Amino acid sequence: MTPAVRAEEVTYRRGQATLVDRVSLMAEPGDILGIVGPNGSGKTTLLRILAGDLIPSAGHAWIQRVDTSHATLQRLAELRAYLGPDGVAINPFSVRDVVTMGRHPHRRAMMEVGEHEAIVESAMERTDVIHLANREMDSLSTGEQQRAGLARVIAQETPVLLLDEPTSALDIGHQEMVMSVLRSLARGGTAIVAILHDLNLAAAHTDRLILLDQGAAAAVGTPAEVLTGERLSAVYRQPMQIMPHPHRNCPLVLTVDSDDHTA
Amino acid sequence: MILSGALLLTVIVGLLSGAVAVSPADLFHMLGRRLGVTDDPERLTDSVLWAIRLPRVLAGAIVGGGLGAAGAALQGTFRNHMADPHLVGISPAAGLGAVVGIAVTPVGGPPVIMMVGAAVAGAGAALIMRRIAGRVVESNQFILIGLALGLGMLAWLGAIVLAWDSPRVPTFTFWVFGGLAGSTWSTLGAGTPVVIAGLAIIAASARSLDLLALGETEARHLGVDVDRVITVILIGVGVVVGGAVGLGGAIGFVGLIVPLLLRRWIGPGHRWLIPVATLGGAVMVVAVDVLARTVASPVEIPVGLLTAILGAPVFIWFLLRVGRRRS
Repeated sequence: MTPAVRAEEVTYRRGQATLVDRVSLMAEPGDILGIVGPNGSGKTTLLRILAGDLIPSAGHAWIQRVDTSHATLQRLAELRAYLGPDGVAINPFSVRDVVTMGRHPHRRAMMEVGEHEAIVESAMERTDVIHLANREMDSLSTGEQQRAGLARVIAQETPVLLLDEPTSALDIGHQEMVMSVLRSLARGGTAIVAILHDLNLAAAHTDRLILLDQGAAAAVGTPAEVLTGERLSAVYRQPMQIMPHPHRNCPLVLTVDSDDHTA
Repeated sequence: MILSGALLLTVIVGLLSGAVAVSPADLFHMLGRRLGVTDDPERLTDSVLWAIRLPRVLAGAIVGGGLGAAGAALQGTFRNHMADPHLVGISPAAGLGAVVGIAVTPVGGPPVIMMVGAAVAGAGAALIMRRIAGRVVESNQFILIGLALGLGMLAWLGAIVLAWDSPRVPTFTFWVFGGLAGSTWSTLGAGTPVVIAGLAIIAASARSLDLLALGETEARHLGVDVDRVITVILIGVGVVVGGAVGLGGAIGFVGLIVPLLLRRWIGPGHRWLIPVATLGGAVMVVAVDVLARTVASPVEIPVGLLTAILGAPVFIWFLLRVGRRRS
């Protein structure tokens, strides 16, 4: 099977700085791949290379068989949807209008207007913004805007979703809700690459993780493989400990004080 | 619908008001003769209506329509509701281009060269402001730079007009505060196609303007070639404003307050906003021009002075409201 997303030894330099340093990754259809790492470790730069926004200084990135450096904007819009950290910039359009804009790449598809509308409605239902459909974006809370933004990228119906901190502004209930929406999309065959700050959210809801440290991949693998106390303590410069989650079959990440570190 | 009715009404009022008294019967008389329906003898009011009033009212509608649409398109492009052809320097640049166009036109030559000069300069200023918008983060800073650009252009324009002192160039007042008194069928014939060409470009970009409201990065992720689309829209805006300035001089605040008020009424979608702002701008300028001719009759007040008298308080109110929402 062709991987949905693949990067091979991508490097991105700006001036003297190497923001992404020979990173390779892969996600199959149905995978949720989390990108974790401290601030400034190159997570967003890596995601933007995958999206085709940035052309890597070295290496290649593909979505399906398409090299993202050479694809047209229209082709990329059919292959991947991208949600930035602020969801959707403040604008006076209604939630329904904004989610409908997600259909733009498919405006020439052989579809009835009603089919587009049904996709838009179901995307709004999935992210729990259907009751806000007629509200203006700039009248919503940040978390609501973020869920509306997620509905927009779901409505784009691409085989790959690239998400930059899709849960940053959400309360804990909506964080879990969004992760389960992502899981159900993945079951439908979508490949999802998401930057996540919350390591426990990443541990519980992703299939594979890539941990970035100063642009380079410190580890790639399942959450249990990547999230070890020693590695996290070194990368985040903060003592951390791992315990088995009491109910979920995944690691639980705890921050600890320096003197507890060896305990 | 309401706006189309309002436009028709203001046009009729515009034809009937002025220094020479004209009755509705005179209007029908002129129309009847022009359309060849009647062979009644010519009256004085016929030539007043045909040679003076009608081109003036039509010029007002075209200038106003152009400015309304251009304002809506600029605000969408820069995602800044303060963007206005006048405030961001496009109108003064178009005025400068028009004067240069007049200077290179042979004596007695057609006004079309002036219109082209205005359109090219207007488009150039719009594209310069695009470069500037890419470098500044603060929307207020963007507007201030536009104001500075405009004032600089205006100073050059004033220097040329005053130093040249030729009867071929409209007065400095015209380039600062506009005026429709000089409208003839000849200037109308040169300016109208320019404005309409620009309007067609803007109208064709309405859907892209909606997508730009998401943000340039987001629009690009949806497959919009943002740089190309914005360049095309800004050329359209510059051409519209060039034609409008060539016809009516620099008339401020129309492009600012017409979209501002209509957006609250019909919503932010540009497929509606652009045509409605075109109608609204036309109504506003034709109506204000009636005031300009009548409030101090027989003296005329430049139409742009009145739009500024009406528009400045609306603009200040808007800025205060935005400030309050932010805090």
